[in-house]
Amino acid sequence: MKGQTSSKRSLIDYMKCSPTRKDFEEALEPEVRIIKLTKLQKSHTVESEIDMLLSLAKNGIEQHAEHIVITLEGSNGQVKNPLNYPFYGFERLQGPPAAKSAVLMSLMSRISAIAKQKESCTIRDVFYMNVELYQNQQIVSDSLREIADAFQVTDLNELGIYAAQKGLCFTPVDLHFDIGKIIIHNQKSLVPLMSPSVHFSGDWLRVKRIIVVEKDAIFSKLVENASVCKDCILITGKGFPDWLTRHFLHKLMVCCPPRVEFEIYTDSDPYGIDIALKYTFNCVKTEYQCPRLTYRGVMIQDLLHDRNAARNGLQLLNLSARDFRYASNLLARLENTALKNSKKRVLTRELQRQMFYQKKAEMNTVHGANFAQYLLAKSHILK
Amino acid sequence: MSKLYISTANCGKAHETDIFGLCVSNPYTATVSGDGYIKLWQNKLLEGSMPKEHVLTKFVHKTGLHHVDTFHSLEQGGLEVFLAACVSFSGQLFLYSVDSTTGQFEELDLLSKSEKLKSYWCVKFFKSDDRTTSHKLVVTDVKGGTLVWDLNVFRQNGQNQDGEVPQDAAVAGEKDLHLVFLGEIPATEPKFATSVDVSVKGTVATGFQDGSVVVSQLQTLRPIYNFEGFGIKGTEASSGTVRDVRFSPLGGLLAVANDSGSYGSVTLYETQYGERVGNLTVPTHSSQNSIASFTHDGWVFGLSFNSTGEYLATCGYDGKVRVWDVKQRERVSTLNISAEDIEQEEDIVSQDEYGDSLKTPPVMGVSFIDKGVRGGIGGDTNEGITCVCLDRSVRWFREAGGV
Repeated sequence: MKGQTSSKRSLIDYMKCSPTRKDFEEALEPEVRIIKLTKLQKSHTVESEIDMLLSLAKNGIEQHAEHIVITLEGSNGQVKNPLNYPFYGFERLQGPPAAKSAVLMSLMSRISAIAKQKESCTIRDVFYMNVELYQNQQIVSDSLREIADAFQVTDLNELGIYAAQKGLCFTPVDLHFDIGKIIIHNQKSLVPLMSPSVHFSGDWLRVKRIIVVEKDAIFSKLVENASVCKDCILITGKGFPDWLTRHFLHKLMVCCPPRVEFEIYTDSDPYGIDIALKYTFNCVKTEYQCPRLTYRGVMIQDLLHDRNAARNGLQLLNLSARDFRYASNLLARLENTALKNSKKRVLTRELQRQMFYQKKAEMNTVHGANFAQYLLAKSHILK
Repeated sequence: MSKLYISTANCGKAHETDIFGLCVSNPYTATVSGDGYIKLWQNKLLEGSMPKEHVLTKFVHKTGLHHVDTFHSLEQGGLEVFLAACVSFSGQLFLYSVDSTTGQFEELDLLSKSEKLKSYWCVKFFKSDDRTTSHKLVVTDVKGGTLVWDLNVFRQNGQNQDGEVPQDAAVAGEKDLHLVFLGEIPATEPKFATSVDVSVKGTVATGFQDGSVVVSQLQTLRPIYNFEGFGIKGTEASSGTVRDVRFSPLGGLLAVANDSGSYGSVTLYETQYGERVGNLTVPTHSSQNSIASFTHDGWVFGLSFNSTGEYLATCGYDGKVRVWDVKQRERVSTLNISAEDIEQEEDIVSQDEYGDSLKTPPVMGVSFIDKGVRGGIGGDTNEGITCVCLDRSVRWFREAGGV
């Protein structure tokens, strides 16, 4: 019924030999080629696997006039909605749109090209290769994640694609890592891309604290302050941290001696607490968390106790309804995490105080808008 | 004339973390804390016994608790009712009936499904001494609404009750605690309702985050007065948050505590015509500041009238409890709280785990104690004061003299 003879038959022939509508539809169903993305075989590289899949698809469409159906396996082993290309069927459009197949194909060929050139590039780079097709970066990163899940590789990095670096770091000593790579001392640099088994080495004797701050602006101020940055590694994830910054912090934790203190300073609002939590703990992977990190501020009572505030007016803002809801949910989430109790308590306490006082504050305003001073004063108290 | 208060008992490390709520009823002083526990401290203690040995403890919610109120009443037939209501940081309202002989907490499930979905903040019971009007439960929610319920202790169908012989068992069997929802006083715009109080005159006062206070009729649930905050505004024009509202025992006055920048001010209003009576102020003079009128050098978290309405106790972030003569609007006493004055040395928390000093701990709640509640020397003839502080302590005081 199907195949080569089909081109010679007219619709009336089909109708004659299909008594029911169902039969008729089946008779008109085109030949399809099912392409499965499954776990990567040991002997195959991503590149060879993808090339094979792409050539299969190409042959199917060009030479056999077959439609292709791409099936992806999710990370949980379940098969997702198959993608048809070109689209066929009688009922109204069901399942993912055809554009999705195009995105997937185009990304696969991009991955293969990257592998061939033995390079790596960022999600953003990939997105800009074909803005018209991808439309937005989220689609690119989601689809890449789907491909990675289907191949069952742990990371996008194995596909040669990285998230754009967002975090910044500053170190008083040179940090050597991987082979011949180096984070140069006394200058701001992006959090570097690292191999999975990276090890940092440097003159750890000259590092006393590792300080993570929420904001870029505070980070820049601290870098300029010689008394702070002479013995501190500074890190910022610019708001909510990306995985790379978290991974970097984790690696530093593993590599540096136990006497080095890890501290985090964020805004005194529910989002700040969430950021601190994100660095310290996540449910996804231990390589992205830093349990040694201590939440040190900015505490809302630091601002309340600040006697200068009385003169300058209190730099506190009202907690909005949204902030309050966020805080309430975060509090419940926090209680359910497997975080160490002592770490959990300080975060819980700060959240409760913010909610009870119904106030929040930005870290910039502390100590007469001089964060470095605040930091030094705070470390003095601890000693 | 100044008054003197002396410490009668105190308890350090009363809770694991910050204590946010306090209220006093005849049998117990109730506290709630961020550690999720409600604790009922027995008021009548024998000489020499420690508060920690006479406390009822109940774990309520892991997100922590912030507001508490208790209800104690002797109903018809000598039925003793003791209820405790508290609100968790997740916005849930919890009601317990406590048996004072066994110390058992029984959780009451009195709210309907839709009522449970709301996010609550502040809770108050109103005990009616008039048989014809029922007790009330008033709760504010985070969207600014004030919800009012009738609190009925007995089953409503009266016929059954009259026909039967008033046997002890039968009377106890008729006890049927339930709530009848009366309605909600909505806020004009969504804003956080921080505090609430009910007067014997049948009015409800709700304080808001933006500094305004709305006084409404309980009968009709309609607003009558709207007071704006009077304190100096902070640079952000947002620091007038109302922290507590309290009616005087006869309902003639309303005291409002609100932020005034980093200071705290207390304003008195009379409730008949909604006029502002004045502020309670301590004299200030400074070369740097313009002369500010404030009640505490820090936010005021709690207010409490004594039973006659002559005195008002206020407490604040400055670690002080002040007692004011309401008529003269004059300070008659200041209690300076210090972390070191806790009796048991091992319970002193003068510095928390994170290195912050609690030497003069902020006072988060204050309440007068009626004569005869606390017992002990002078307990029957003198009034007392209790307060909770950020050093995780509860302190009880008694007015000096007359013993």
